[in-house]
Amino acid sequence: MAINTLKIREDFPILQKRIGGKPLVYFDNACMSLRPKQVLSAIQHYYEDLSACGGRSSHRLATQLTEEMERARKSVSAFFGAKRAEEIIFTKNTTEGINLVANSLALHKGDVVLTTDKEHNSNLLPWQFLAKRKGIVHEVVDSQKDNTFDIDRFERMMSKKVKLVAMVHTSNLDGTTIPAREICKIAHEHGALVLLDGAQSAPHKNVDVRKIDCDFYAFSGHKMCGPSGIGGLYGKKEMLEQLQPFLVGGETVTDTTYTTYELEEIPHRFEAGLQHYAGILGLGAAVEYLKKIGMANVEAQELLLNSAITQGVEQLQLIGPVDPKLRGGICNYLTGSIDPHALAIMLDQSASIMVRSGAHCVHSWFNKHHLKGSLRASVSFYNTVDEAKFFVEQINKIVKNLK
Amino acid sequence: MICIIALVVFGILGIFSATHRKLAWEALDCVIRKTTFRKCRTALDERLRSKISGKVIGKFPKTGAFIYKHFAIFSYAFTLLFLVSLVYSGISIYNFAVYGNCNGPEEIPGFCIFDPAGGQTKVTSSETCTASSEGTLKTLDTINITRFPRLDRGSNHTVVFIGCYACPYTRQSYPELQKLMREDVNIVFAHFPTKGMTEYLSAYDYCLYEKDPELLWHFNDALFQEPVESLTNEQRILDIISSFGIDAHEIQECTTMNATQSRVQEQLAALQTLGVYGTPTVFVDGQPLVGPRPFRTYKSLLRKNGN
Ligand SMILES: Cc1ncc(COP(=O)(O)O)c(C=O)c1O
Repeated sequence: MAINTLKIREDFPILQKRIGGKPLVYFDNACMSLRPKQVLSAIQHYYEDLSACGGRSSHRLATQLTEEMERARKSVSAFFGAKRAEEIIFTKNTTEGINLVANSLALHKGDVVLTTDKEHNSNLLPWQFLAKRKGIVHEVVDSQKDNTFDIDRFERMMSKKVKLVAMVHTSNLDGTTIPAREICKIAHEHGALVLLDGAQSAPHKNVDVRKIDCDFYAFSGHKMCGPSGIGGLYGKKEMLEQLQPFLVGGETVTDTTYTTYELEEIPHRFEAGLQHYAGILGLGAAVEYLKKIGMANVEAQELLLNSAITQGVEQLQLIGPVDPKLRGGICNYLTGSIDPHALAIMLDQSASIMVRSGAHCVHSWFNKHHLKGSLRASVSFYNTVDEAKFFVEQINKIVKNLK
Repeated sequence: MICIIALVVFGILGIFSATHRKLAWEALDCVIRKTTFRKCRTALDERLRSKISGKVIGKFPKTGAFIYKHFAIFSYAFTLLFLVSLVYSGISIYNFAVYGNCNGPEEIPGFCIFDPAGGQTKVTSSETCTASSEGTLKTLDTINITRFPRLDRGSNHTVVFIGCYACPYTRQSYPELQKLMREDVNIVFAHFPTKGMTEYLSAYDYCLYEKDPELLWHFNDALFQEPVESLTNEQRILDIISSFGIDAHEIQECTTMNATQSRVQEQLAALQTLGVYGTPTVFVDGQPLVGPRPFRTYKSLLRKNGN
C-alpha cells in the first residue's frame, strides 16, 4: 500500500514553511528527522498538563505522568518487538546507550570487541577508550569492495576471545544494513554478545529485536520523528540484569544507608536522576505515529526516493553499492574536485535544499580511504519524488557548472 | 582577502549583535592566519565564497560558477576597492572636520554623507553677475587686496569675506562669520552682488568706509538683518545710514561720484579676476572656503595656522 505523502506532509508544520522564500527540501534526515504535530503536542501536553516528576511523588500529576511514561515505554518496546517493556531503558540518545553498555558490561583486559570499518564515532570511541582504560582489544572487520558487510571475514575473525560484537546496524555513511540475524547467530555460537547501533535502522525499517536476537540495541528518538535529547537502549532482560550501572544516583536505588544501597529493578536502575519526561512522551507519540504509517511503507517510499536520486545524479561517485535497495534512505556522494561543504551551502542558498557534507562522524572510514568528505542526501517517508527530482536537477546543474 | 572585509563589516554589525560578534572573531582569526600563510581555522572564507556564489548559481549557473572559481580575484578586487574607499572615507572625515565639508575647502559638487543636505557647499552662484569665471578660484595674491575695505587689528591672521547682502547663503552664514570676525583677525570685506538690483550697495560700502571704517561693519550688521526685499529700497538704506547719526544724503552723493564708481568697478573686476563664482567665499589666511561653513571650521583653520 502506497502512502499518501501529501497528506502526511500536513502533519509536519516545518514543511509548510518557506526558507529564504523557497519551499524547504529537507534531505538531512539521517542527522535529525522532522517532527509531526502529534509529537509536538505530546511534548506540549507534558509541559502544559503535567509538568511534574515521574516515579517519586504520589500526587495525581506525578502518578499520571508515571503512567504515561510507562505507556510510552510499552509503545517503544512493542515497536521494536521486545518481549517486555522493562527491556527498554530511556537514554539521551544512541551514543549514551552504547556508552552505557561499554561502561556497564563486564569486559576485561584482553577481551575482544569487534566493530565494522564504518562505525560512527559513537560506536568507535567507547571501545578506544576501553582499550586504553581496561586493555580490551578493539578489532575492525573490513567491508567488501562495495562497502557491504563481509560475513566470511567476520566469521573468520570470531573466536572465544571476542566478548562483544558492537556494530552499526544501518550505516549512516552509505545506508547499507548488515545481516544482523546471521551476525548474532555466529556471535552467540562463539559466546559473544551483540550490540547493534540502531540509530539509522530504527527510523527506516521494521526492526524486531527478538527476531534479530541481538542482546542490545541502541537508538535515538530524534532520528525517528521524536524529540531531541531522547533515545533508548533495548537489552534482553537477563543481559540488563547482569550489567553494573555506571550512571547512578536518584531513581536508580530503592534504599541506601551510608555504606550500602539497594538497586532498583531494571530498567529504572539505569535511568539515573529525573528524566526527560517531555521527550519520553514525545518518543511514545513518535513510535505510535510511525506504527500508523507502517515501517514497510516507510521503507517503500524511501526506496522510491533513493531510486530517483540514484538514477538522476550525474558526475558524482556514490559511496556504497549502486543498488538503491541496499542503501535505505541514503545517497552519499564523493564530489571529486568540488568541496562537498561548498556544494551543500550552494544547494541551500540557491534552492533551500538541506543536505549534509563532511565526514558524517565516520572520520575513520574517510581517513582509511584518504578522503576528505562527501555530500549526503538522506530522505525520509515525508519527502516526495518531486523533491528528489528537484534535488537531482539542482545538483546536476551546479556540478556541471563547477566542474 | 574576503576576511578583511568580513572583519570590518561583521565588526561593525557586531556592535549590535552577538552573532556578528562571533563572526567578527572568526574573521579576525582568519585574517591573522591568512597573513601567516595558514588556512582559516573555521573556513569562514570558504563559507562566504560558497554562500555568495550559491546565491547566484540558482538563477545564473554560469555566473555563479564563475564567481566561485574566480573568487580569489573578486575578493582581491573588492578588498582593494574597500581599502581605497576606506582611505577616501578617512580623507572625507578629515575634510569634514577641518573644512566642514567632505569634499574639501572649495565647493566641489558631490554628496557628503556627514552633510547629506549639502548645506555647507551651497552658494549663491554669480550667474547674475556680469562676467564670471566659474569654478576656479585663484589665490589672493592675483589681486590687490588693499583696494577693499579692511579692518586691521595687527593680527597675524587675515579673513577675507566676500559676500552678497541679498543672497540666502551669505545671510545664513553671517552669524557664524560674525563669530569669526570677533576673533583675533584682520578683516577684509568685499561685496559681490550676485543678485541684481543690489549692486548699488557696493558704492555705499565704499563711501561709508571712507567716512569712517567702523561704519562699514555696522552697516553690514544692519543689512544682513534687513529683509531681502528692503535691500532694493534705497530710501530704506538711507534711513539705516541716518540711524548711525550721520548725514545720509552726503553718503548718497558720494556714491554717485566718479571716484566711487571707478573704485567699485575696480573691486568688481578684481573679484572676477580672483574667480569668485559664488557667495559666501571666505579666505582664511589665504585658504578659500566656499559656501556656508560652521564657525568651528574657520576656527580650526586659524588654529592650524598658529599665531
Ligand atoms: C549510525 C549512527 N550511530 C550513532 C549516531 C549517534 O547518534 P546520537 O548523536 O543521536 O547519539 C548516529 C548519528 O548520526 C548515527 O548515524
